[in-house]
Amino acid sequence: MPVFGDDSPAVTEISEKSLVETALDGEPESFRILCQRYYASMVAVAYSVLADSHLAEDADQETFARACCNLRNLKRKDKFPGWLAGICRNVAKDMLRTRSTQFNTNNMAMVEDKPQNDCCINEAVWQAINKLSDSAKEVVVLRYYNGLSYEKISAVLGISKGSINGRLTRAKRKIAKYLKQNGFPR
Amino acid sequence: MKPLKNDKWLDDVISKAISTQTPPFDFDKWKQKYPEEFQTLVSPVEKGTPAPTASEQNIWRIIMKSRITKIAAAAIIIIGVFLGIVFMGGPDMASVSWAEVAQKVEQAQSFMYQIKMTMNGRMMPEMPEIKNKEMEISVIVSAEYGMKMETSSEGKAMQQMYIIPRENAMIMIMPEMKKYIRMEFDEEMLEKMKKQNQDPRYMVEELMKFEYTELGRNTIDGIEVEGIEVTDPRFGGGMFDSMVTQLWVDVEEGLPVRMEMDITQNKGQMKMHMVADNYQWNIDIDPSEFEPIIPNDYTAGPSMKIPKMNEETAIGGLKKFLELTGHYPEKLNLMDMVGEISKIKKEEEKQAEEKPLQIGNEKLVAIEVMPENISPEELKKLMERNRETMEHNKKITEEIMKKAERTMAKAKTTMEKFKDHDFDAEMNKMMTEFMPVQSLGMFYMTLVQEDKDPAYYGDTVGQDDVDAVLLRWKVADDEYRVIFGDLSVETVSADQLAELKN
Repeated sequence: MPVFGDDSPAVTEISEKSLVETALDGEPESFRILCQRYYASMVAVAYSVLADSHLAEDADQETFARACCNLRNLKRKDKFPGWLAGICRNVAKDMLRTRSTQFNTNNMAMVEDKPQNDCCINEAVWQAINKLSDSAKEVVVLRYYNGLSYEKISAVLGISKGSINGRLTRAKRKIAKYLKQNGFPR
Repeated sequence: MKPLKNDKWLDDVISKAISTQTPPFDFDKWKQKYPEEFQTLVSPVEKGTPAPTASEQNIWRIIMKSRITKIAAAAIIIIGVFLGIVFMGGPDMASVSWAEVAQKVEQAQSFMYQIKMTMNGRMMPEMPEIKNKEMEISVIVSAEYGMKMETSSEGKAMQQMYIIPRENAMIMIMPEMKKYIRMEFDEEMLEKMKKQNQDPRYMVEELMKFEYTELGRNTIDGIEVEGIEVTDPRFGGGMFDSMVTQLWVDVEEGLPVRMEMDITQNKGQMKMHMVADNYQWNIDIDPSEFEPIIPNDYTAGPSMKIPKMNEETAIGGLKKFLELTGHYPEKLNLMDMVGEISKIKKEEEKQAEEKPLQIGNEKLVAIEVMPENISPEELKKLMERNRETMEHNKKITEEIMKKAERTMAKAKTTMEKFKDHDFDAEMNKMMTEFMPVQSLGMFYMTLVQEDKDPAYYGDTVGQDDVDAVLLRWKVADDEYRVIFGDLSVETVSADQLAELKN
């Protein structure tokens, strides 16, 4: 397989199915493209569980390692992103259990990185996100953590764009309600 | 869905709170960190896990989606997962999209869940009463490797069951008895499963024929759920007197969160409550989890073949029931049939106990009772007869005692061996007597579930009623298959069926 730049049209047009098949034929370049294509999405998935960007990146690396070993077992090759997200969620949950990390605002590096005057509202936003269900939390993080498109979120979660829109709207409604109850916007 | 007011402000606030820029993925670094994993890609033949063959994969997917695999303990997984899953759609459910659910179920490569069962009463008339018997079952399923089910009660392991698709086999390990049994699937049965289950939506369409009541929304473990309730006993293949099933589905995920079942049997004398929850989907699988570990001191019980469920075995079951009881079963409900056979067996045992003691052809003889107003001469004769009877009985009793002593001595030395023989004998007995009947019951159950308009008249039809319909079911729009009283079989039109007597 010829090597292209990751953003070249030739690469973006290659389907997941083809990439998985060629990777299984012993072509590591295909797997590299898959990893790069879904790295940001998987970090977001892991981040929604771990609430720590460094841990999320570690989880993502482990996810690719497990995916590498189990790629042969993937039957619906076109469903690679959803399958990968499933592995990623499990890896992140395992890490959460072993490291006893809690999803709370105290250990969120992101909050600490923001300017002081933004901290209050950032904390409140995180508290609101923390109150969402896992699936709602995941879709919010996927959308806002790395600014993923609906199309990519749809591929990763295996649901329609309409459903994503619905979930996001419901989640944001809950966030807005929580912020309002806590005096935001001030 | 309406957009939010002030949406832009909220977008900005959320973005500010959580947005970041993930650095690009460094594949070379990753390769260095995970050299072995990477190697599985580069030299898959040498180091990669061999891919299961297509047939291995298909078989398990079929088993996973099949209602027929209710046989033996596999029933629980099917009831707990598939019947549960397939009920979650429907045109009127506001937030749960069936298409989405079907897709998710299709994609589910692995999952696990737990069941808690509480039983009270008598499952069958002749069985002992159970009081608050609690059982916990944990199930793990992989599309690739099979299924493992562990049952415990009061913290004590009762049974482990494995389904091994690559071997077409089920293995049951019974720690209390230190035994294990291997049961094999029949190719024909698997073929039948394939036909019925190629399309999982087929199952849904079939099951959605049952009416359900919407229970609205609720919260379970902090998850917003929507529930439905199904009360049609055909849901359980007509196996129970009543069966009320509630299924609660995560509104956002579209996957089951909890399923509850209330079942009654034996005219309300047996009550069972079952809760299945803690569902986890697409979990990581360790293949070694699905390899049965049988301790060295466990011995193998008789191997069994899981019976087919077709017309032929149904007739075999009817013949066996006739042979055991002298008549056809009143109903083809599996529980009732097994209950009826157990009852007859118990009566036979009771009659055997009540038989006069006997050795060889000699029986103990009862002493004559003295009638009222007996003459002295008759009394003298009666006493003489009774004296002879007593001598006769004494002689027989002494011989019985000698024989009993010899038997006891022999039994003592072979007690351990006897235990095994007893177990194996029981299992063999079950195979020869109950398996054909079980096949019959399961066959009827599938007819009910598949809505093939089955009707059974065993309460009025006997083996001499050569022209009377014993069992019939629909095979096409205008065609019925009929088993007559003499167990002959014929396909008839709906009009011809109407003319037949039953």
